[in-house]
Amino acid sequence: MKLKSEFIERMNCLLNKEECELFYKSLDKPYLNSIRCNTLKISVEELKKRLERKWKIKQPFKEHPEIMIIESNLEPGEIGKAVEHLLGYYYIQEVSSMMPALVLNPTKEDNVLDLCASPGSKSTQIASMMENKGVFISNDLSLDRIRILSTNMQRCGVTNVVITQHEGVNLCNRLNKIGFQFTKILVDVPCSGEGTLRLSPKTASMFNLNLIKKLSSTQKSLLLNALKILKVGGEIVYSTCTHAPEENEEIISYILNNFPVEIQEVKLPLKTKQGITAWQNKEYNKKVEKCVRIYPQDNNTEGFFIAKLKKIGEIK
Amino acid sequence: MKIKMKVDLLDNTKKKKMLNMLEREYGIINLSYLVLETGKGKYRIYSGGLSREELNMLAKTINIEIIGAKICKIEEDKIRLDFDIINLPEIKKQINKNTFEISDKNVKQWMQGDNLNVKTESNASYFIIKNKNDLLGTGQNAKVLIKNYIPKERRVKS
Repeated sequence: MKLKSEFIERMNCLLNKEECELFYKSLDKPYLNSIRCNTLKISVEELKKRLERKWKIKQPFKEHPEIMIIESNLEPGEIGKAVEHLLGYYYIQEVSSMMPALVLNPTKEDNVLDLCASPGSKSTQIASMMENKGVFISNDLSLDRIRILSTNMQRCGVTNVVITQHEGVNLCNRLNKIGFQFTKILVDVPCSGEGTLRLSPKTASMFNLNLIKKLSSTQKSLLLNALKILKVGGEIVYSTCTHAPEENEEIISYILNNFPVEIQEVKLPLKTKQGITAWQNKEYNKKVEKCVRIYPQDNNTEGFFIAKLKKIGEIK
Repeated sequence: MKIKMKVDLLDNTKKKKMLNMLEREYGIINLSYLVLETGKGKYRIYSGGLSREELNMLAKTINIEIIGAKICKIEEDKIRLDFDIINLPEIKKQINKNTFEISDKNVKQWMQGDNLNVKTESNASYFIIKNKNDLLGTGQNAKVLIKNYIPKERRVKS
């Protein structure tokens, strides 16, 4: 994979030499074929039993048996063409992309918002965890993305959702005006995607510092406005699939320094690294160490960043 | 303000009428959802925690594109259940009428979108096609064959 020199320089600052080598090697490794059982339609045991008739199935996490890895050699598109997939019994999803919803841990008692939801991998997971109950709003920006989102929600049999089409900040402002609040919010923001290089190699050629800067401003605004419609005591999970600190710790540090929030521990069934507290000439709030960084070399997954915040006071 | 989706929730009388059709055709007697009509003869179900009033209030404030999931389409006196909804356990366990069992060897052809070349004596408008525990969508009873109604995006690409 051809990487831009600017990207390499930045990764060399983020990771030590040994880790860097592992990181670059990991980009050429084949990715895991991971799926998530859609418990709205089928039990984990039943799905596993069925799939084991044709594939070798591994459940890597005892506490999350719905996450499965297919270890057999597969034909291109085989997982997507399987009857079980067409019937909505499972969702094809990268393991690290399943983590933000696990951290959010929504239940059927919650009022949940997925602010940037398309294509719907996390929204279908959230609906599944909520057992198709509770209040759930799933939002995205464009009609094209809403179409993909709604197709996936329909295939998975999600019946508790209200799908809305708004630019994220605009949605938050409108809901704020009528005093509509949530107990849990997922802000899985649009990002530069540095963590998805294996699944989407073209991301490497699109690397651009100006884009990162622009995204950082959008992400900050999305998180801040989402916080305004979170109930005091409620929790918000912020995630990206990028390694860029400007899109990660910098956003969380800004929120921690300026608003009544507490950062929470993030416990995952994956090997993670803690958030970084300084980048280039900037010092971040030390508490961003509680954020987690998921690197591809650590778990043979895509890269991700996750932070969990609790709102402890009103925001004017 | 532009409201994308009209929140047209069925009242009890209309819901009961739909339930009567569902019972007559498929044996479904319980539908513990809010039911919405979203177009001519097109219906969706919603199981979330928002009340009728809250949904209406939200629709005045934000662009609601979709509520819940498609459940069926009613044309004249015929009701066709949606492919994606019939395997939801609450609905699946109630379906006990007008099912048509196919063998393992016919599953692939059916899932590719082929019709079933079978003659039926039944007066049912639609069948739910079944293979073991799976409900594989609906087929229209055309007497000399069962016409495949699996949506294109759910068919197995050959």
